[in-house]
Amino acid sequence: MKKTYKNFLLKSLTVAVVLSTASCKKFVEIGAPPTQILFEDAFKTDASAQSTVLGLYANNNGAIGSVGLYSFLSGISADDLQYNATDASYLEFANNAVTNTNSLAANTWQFSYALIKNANNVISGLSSSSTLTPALKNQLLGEAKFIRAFTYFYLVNLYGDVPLPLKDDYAAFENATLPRSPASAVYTQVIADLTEAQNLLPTSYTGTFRGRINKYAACSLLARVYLYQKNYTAAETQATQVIASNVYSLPAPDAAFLNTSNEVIWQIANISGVSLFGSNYVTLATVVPAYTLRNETYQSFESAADLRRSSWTITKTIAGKIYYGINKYKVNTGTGNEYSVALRLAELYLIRAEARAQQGNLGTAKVDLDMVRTRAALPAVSASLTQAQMLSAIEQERKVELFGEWGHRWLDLKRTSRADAVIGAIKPATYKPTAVLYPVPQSQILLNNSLTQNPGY
Amino acid sequence: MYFSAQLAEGRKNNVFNTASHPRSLIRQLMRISLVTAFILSLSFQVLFALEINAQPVQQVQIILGLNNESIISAIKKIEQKSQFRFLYRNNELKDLLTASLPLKERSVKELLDQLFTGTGFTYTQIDNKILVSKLNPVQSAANNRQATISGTVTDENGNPLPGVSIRFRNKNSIATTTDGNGQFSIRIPEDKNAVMMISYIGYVNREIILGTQTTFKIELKPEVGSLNEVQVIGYGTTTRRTSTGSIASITAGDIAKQPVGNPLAALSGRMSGVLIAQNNGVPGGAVQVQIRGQNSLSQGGIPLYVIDGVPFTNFNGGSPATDNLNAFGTSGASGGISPFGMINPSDIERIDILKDADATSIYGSRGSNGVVLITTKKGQSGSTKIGVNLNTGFTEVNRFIPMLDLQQYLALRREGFSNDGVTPNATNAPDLTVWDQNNGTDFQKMLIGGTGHITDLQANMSGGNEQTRFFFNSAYRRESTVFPGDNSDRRFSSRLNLDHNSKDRKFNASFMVNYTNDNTNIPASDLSSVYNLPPNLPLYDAAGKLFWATGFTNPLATLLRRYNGVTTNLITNANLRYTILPGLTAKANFGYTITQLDQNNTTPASSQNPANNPTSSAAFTNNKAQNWIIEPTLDYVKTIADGKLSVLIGTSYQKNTSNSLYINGTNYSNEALLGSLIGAGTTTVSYNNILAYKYNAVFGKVNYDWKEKYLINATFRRDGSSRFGPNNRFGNFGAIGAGWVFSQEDFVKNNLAFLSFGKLRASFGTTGNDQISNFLYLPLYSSTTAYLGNAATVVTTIPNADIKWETTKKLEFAIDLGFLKDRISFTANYYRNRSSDQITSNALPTQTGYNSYSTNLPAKIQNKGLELELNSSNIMTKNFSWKTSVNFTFTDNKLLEFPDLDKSFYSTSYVVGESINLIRLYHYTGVNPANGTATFEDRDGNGIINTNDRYTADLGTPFFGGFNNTFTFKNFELGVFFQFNHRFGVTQILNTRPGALVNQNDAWLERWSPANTSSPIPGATANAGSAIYNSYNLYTSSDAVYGDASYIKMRSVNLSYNLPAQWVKQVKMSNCSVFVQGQNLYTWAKNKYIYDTETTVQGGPSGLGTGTIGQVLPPLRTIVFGINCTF
Repeated sequence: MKKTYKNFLLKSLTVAVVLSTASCKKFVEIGAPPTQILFEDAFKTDASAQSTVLGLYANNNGAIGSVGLYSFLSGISADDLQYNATDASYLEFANNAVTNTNSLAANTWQFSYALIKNANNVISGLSSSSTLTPALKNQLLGEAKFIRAFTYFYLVNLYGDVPLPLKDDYAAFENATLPRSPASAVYTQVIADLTEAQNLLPTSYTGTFRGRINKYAACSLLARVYLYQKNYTAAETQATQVIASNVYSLPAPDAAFLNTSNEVIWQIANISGVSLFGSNYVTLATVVPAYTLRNETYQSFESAADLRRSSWTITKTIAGKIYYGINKYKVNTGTGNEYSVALRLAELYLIRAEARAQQGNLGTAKVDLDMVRTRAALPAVSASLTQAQMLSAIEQERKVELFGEWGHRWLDLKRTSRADAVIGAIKPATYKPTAVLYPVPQSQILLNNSLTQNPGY
Repeated sequence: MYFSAQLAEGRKNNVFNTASHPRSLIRQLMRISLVTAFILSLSFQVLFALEINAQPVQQVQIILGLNNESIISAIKKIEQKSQFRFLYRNNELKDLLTASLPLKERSVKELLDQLFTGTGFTYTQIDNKILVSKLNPVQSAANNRQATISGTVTDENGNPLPGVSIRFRNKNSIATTTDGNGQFSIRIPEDKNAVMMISYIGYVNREIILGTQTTFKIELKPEVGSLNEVQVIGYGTTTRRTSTGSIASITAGDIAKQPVGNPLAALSGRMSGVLIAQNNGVPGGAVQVQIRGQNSLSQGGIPLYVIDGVPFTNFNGGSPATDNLNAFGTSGASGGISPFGMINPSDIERIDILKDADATSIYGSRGSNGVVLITTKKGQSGSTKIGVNLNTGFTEVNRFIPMLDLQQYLALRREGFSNDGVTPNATNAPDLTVWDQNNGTDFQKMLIGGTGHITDLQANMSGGNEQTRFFFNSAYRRESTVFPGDNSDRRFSSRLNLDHNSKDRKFNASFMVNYTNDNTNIPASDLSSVYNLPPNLPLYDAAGKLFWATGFTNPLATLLRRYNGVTTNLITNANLRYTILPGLTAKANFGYTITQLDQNNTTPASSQNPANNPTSSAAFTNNKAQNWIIEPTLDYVKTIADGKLSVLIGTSYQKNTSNSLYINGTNYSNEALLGSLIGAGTTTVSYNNILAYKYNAVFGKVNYDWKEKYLINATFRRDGSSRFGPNNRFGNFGAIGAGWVFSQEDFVKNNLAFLSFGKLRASFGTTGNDQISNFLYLPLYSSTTAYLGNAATVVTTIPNADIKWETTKKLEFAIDLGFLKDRISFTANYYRNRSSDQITSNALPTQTGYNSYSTNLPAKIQNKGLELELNSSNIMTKNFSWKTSVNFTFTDNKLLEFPDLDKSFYSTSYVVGESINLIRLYHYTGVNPANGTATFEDRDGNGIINTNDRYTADLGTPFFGGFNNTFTFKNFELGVFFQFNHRFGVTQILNTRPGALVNQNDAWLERWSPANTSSPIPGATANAGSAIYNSYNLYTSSDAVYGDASYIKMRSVNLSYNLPAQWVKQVKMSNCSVFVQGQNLYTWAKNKYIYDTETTVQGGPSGLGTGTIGQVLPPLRTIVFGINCTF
C-alpha cells in the first residue's frame, strides 16, 4: 500500500517535472479561439478567403460609411447639396471652412485608411496563399485591389498628397510613420491596382444583384481615373469597354436606382435596413432632410421637362421654406429594393463624351451626351457646339445627372479648376481657394511627425 | 404535577453540578430549580407518606388490551384499572405509541415492560406512584474508586505543548500541567461524566467528557487572533508569530455571525486594506473586492481567489474586467452574478487575504491585486458530530429617499412652467392637466417597500478516526426580494471533505467535492431606479389595463419582464501528500471546477406599450466555464543550527475554458412559450464566445526561521500564460521578506515586561496582473455582418507580440506588537505599491487603419497606505468578557508617471500627480437671484464657462475601517460591528431637471423661486431651451452633486445564547444556541438622497465605491432568528 502511494506520487512528480522543463512553452501556446480565425488561416480555403473580401464590402456600410463620407461631405462642400441640420462639423464643410480639428475630416481619413488596411491585409493574405482555386483567387484579389484603388482615389482627391501604405498589418508600425506620397504616386498606384483588377476580374457578376465588383466596374473606375488624369484616349478606351459590352442600359429615371436596375455597374448592398442614400435623403413629407439639393443646382435644370427634375427631386415646403429633396432613392424604411449605387452607366457615357470632346471628337461626344439627355427626355444638344461649349454642356449634364452621388460635383469642380469661380461665387464670405483640399487631421500630424498640413490650415 | 417527578430526579444533577459551574446565569436558573425541586420533593415526601399500603406492580393483575395507541392513553387506562398513579412529562411521552396487545389479563409489570421497552424510558415504583423517566445508562452515583488519566497535548501540527493546564470541572483540587514533552498523568475519582478542561494561552480551550477512556491524544487549536493562529498562505501555512508577510484573516466564527448569502459580503470592513462594495441588494448580486487600491488603469483589479489551493478564477478576459458569471450578455435585477454566490459561507473555515509582496509573489503574474485564500471546513477525528443550523428572517430597505409628495411635486411642476413662461397642456404636462391631482402613488413603497424573507437550513455531519475524517454539509437557502411579486433566489449546496492518512501518517489524501445549484427568479431590472416616477402617474387606464404614457415604462410592466438564472457549480479537488523522508514531503494538488449559468430573460408583449404593436421576445444566455489545475510540489524542512529551514518547489498547470452563447428569440406567438426557444418565430445568435486560457508556472520558496527571532523568506515564480505575447510569454517574479521578533531579544525581555511580543517586518518584491484580454497578440479575423447573404469576416485588432502582464512592485514595512501577555495586539502596515507596464490603448496614426493598439505603457500608478489594526481583550472575567477590534486604512492613489500623456487618449482623463479616479468638476457658485439659474465659477475669467473652468477632484475612499465589539456574559454573546468609509462621491442623482416630468427629492423644496430668491438651489424648469433649463447643463458635472458621501454603517449585530450544557445534554446535544443576527441595520450618512453610497455599478464613475449613476437597490437590512445545534 505504502509503496503504491509512493510510486504514484513519485511518478506524477517526475512527469510534472519533465513536463515543466520540456514543454512549458508548448503548454501555454494557444491557437485562435474557435470564434475567430488566424490571419494566415483565413486564406487557406476558398470560402474563408471569400469571407474576408466580403468583409471589405461590408466595411463600406456602417453609420455613414463610404457613401456618407464621400457623398455628403463633398456634396455640401460643392454647390451640390444643401446641409439643413446644425452640426458644427458639417457646417464647416458646408461653409468650405473646415478646421484641422474637424471630426468628420478625421473620420474620413480614418475610415479610408481602415478600409485600405483591410484591403492590404486581404491582398497580402491572398497573394501568399497557395491553396485557393486560381480563378477565385484572381477574382478576390481583383476585388480587393479595386477597393484599395477606389479608396485611394477618394483620399487623393479629398486630401491631395496622402500616405500610401500598401503592406499588411505586420508592418503596421512601419505604416504608422509613412509621410505623404505625392498625388501622382498615389494615382500611379490606383491605376496599377485597377489595371491589375481589370485583368483578374471576371466580366460576370457573382451572386445576386450587382453587389460585387466585376471587370466592368474596374474599367469604369479606371475610365474615371484616366479622365481625371487627362489621359483622354485611355479614358475613352476604358469607357468603351463598358459601354460596348452591352451588359448595361439606361432605364427610365424612376427605375435607375432600383437594385435590379440594368444601369448599375456596382452597388453596395445593404447590410441591414435601407441604403445609406435612402436613409439620408428620404424623409417624411413634413420633415426636412439633412441634405437637399441646393437651389442653384435645382434652378440649373434645363427645363421642367427634364425627367430627372421631376423624378429625382421632390419639392417640399416646410415652415414656409422650400426644400428640393433628392428623390433618386425612394425608400427609407424596411429593407427596400434599393442599394447604394456606386457606379452606373450614365457616368460612363459622360466620361466618354468628355474624353472624346477633349480629343476634339465633338460628333461622337454629342452621341454619348445625347444618350444621357434622351433618357431624361431632353432634346439632343445642338450639333454646332464648339469644343468649349461641348465641355461646358457636359459639365452641366454631369451636375444634373450625378447630383447627390459620391461627390462628383466637388471633384469635377476641383479637377477642372472651376471651384474658385463657382463656389467662390456662392459662398464668398467663407470660401478660400485652399479649401479645395481638406485638412490633414491635426491629431494625425501630432501622432506622425512626418505628416505635413495642406496649405491654408 | 406531571413534571415534578422528573425534576425530582434531576435534582441530584443540579446539586452535583451547580456548585462551581462557571456560568452563573445557569447557576441562577439552577438555583431556582433547586429550590423548586426541594419544595416539590418535600411535598412528595408528604404524598408518599400518605400512601403506605401499595402493592408491587408485579402483583397487580389487570385485564387490558391495547390497540397501537399512545402510551399516555395506555397509562390512563392502567390508572383507571388500578390504584397506581403515574408521574411523567407529557411532552416526552406524547409521541410514543404502544404495540398492539390482545385483551387479556396481565400483571401491571408485564404491561409496563411491554410499554417502555425500547422507548428510552423506564419506570420506577414508589409506593403506588409510578415515575416514568428517561433511561440513563450512565449511573451518576458517586464512586470512590480512583482512575488514572494520562495523555499528550499537541498543537495542530503534532508538536507537543508543554505547560498546558489540565483541570476537571467541579473538581477544583485536581489539576496538573503537561511536561516538556506535552505529556500529563493524573488520578481522579472514577467518574465517566467528569469533564476534563484543557487550557493554554493562545489556544482554544477544550473540554472532554472522559467516558471510559483513560489515555488521550489532545490537539489544541490556536485561538483566532492570537499569535499562534495558523494562517494560510500560498502553498503552506504560517502563524502570526513567524510570518514575514501581510495577511488579514477572518474565521468561520465571524462569518457565521452574519446572515449573508455571499461570503465576500461578510468581509466588509473587517480587514484593513480591503475595500468591499456590494453592487446592490438584490439576492445573487456581485460583491467587488479591492485590496490595497486600484493598480490598473484599465485592466482587471480582481484579486486572485483560491479555494483550498485551487484558483477560483472567473475573469474571462472581458472588458470592463469583472469576474461575474454573466460577464457577457444577459442580466437581471441583480446585475452581475458573483461566482461567490455559489459558495456557502458555512462551508468556510477561514479566509486569509494576502496583501504584500512576501505573501503574494508566490502567485507571480496573478498576485498584483492581492490573493484571497478560502479554506473550507474539514472533519476532526473523534465522535461523529451532527450540526444543524436553522435560521429565518426578513429583509427590507433600511432607508428611503425623502421624495416630494404629490402636491409638492405638482407645485414644482407648475413653478417650472411658470418660470419658463410656458402654459402646461395635455402634451407637455399630462400630470398637471390630465392625471389625478389628488391621489398619488408612493412608488418607493410600492416597488421596493416590501419585505423579503430568508430561510437558511443547514445540516452537517463530521467526524472520523485517526486515519479518516470527513465533513459533510448540505444547505438550502431561500431569499426573496423586496420587489412585489414572487421573486426569489434559491440555493442548494452540498460539500463533502474527506481526508485519509495511512497509519504511519506518511501518506495523506484529501478530497473535496462541492456542488451548488442556484435558481434566481427575479424581475429583469432593478425597480429602485423608478423611485422618481411622477407620483400621479396612472398605473391602469380606465379599462383596467396597464397605462402607458410617452416616455414612461409602466413599472408594473417592468415587473412582467422576468429573469431566470440557474447556476450550477461543481468544485472537485484532490490533494495527495507523501512524506518521502523525514522532512521531505511530496504533494500534488488536482482540481477541477465547472460553473454553468443558464439564463432566460423574457420581454412579453404584455409588458410593452400596445401602441407599438409589440411582440414577445426572450434572450437565452448560457455560459460554461471550466478550470482545471495540476500542481505538484515538493516540501523540505530541516533544522540547521538553531533554525528551521523550509524549502518548497513546485510547478503548476492550469487551463480555463469558457463558452458563452447568447441567442435571442423574437416574434413569439404566445407568451407562455417564452421559456423555450422553440416557440420563437425568429432566433438570432447574438453572441458566441469561446475562450481558452492556459497557464504554467514553476515556483519556489525558501524560509529560514532562527529561534523564532530572525525570519527570512524568499519566493520566486516563473509564470507563463497564453494571454501574453510570444515575445513575453514567460515572466519572473520574486520577493524577499524578513522579520525580527525583537521581543525575543534579552534586552527587551528584561526591560520591557509589558511588551509580550514585538516584531518588525519588511518585504519587497514583484507581482503581476494578468487580467488582460485574451489573444491581444494574434492577428485575427472575426465574423462581421454578412454581405449579400454570405458570411463576411474582418480583421479585428492589431496584434502586439510584446503584450505582457502589468507589473506591481510592492514594498512594505510593518510592526506587530503584543502587550500584557498579548491581551492587546497592534499591527501597523505601511505599504507602497507601484504598478507599471499598464496595458492601455495607445494612440496610433490612423493611416495604419487603427486608431489604437493595446500595449504595455510605462505609466506608473502608486498606491500607498497605512493600515492599523488593534485587538484588545478589555475585560476578561469569569462571567463577562469584552473584546474590541478596530481597523483603519488610509489609502492614497496617485498617477506617478504617464509618458506622453498629452498625446494619448487619456489626456483629458488623467493628470500626473493625481489619483486615477479623477473627476473634473465645475465649481457651482449658487443661484442667480434674478432668474433662478445655476451659476458656475469662470476660473479663467474669459466670460464663458467651458471645460477649462473645471477643477479636478479625487473620487474614492481615502480612509475606511471597522470597529467591532464582542461582549459575553455567561451564556450570552453580543457582537456589534460598525463599518465606516470616508468617501468622496455622488451625492445627488439628478437624471432630469427639477420641474421635468419626474419627481425629485425633498432638497428641491428649498429651491429658488420668484418668492424665494435667496435660495442656494436653482429653480424649477420644465421646458428645454429656457434659461434655467440650460443652466442645468453643467449642474450634474459640478460639485453641486458631488461631495462627501461618507457613511457609518451598523453592519452587523448578533446576539446569541448558548443553552446550558445540562439542558442540551438531556436531548443528546453537545451544544445548542439560539441567536438573532442583523446585517446592514442602520446607516448614518451625510447624504440622504442616495440609497447607499456603497453600491457601485458598471457605468458609474470609475473606482470602487465612488457612487452610482442611477439608484440601485441598497444592501438590505437583514434580520434573522435561528438555532444552531450540534449533536
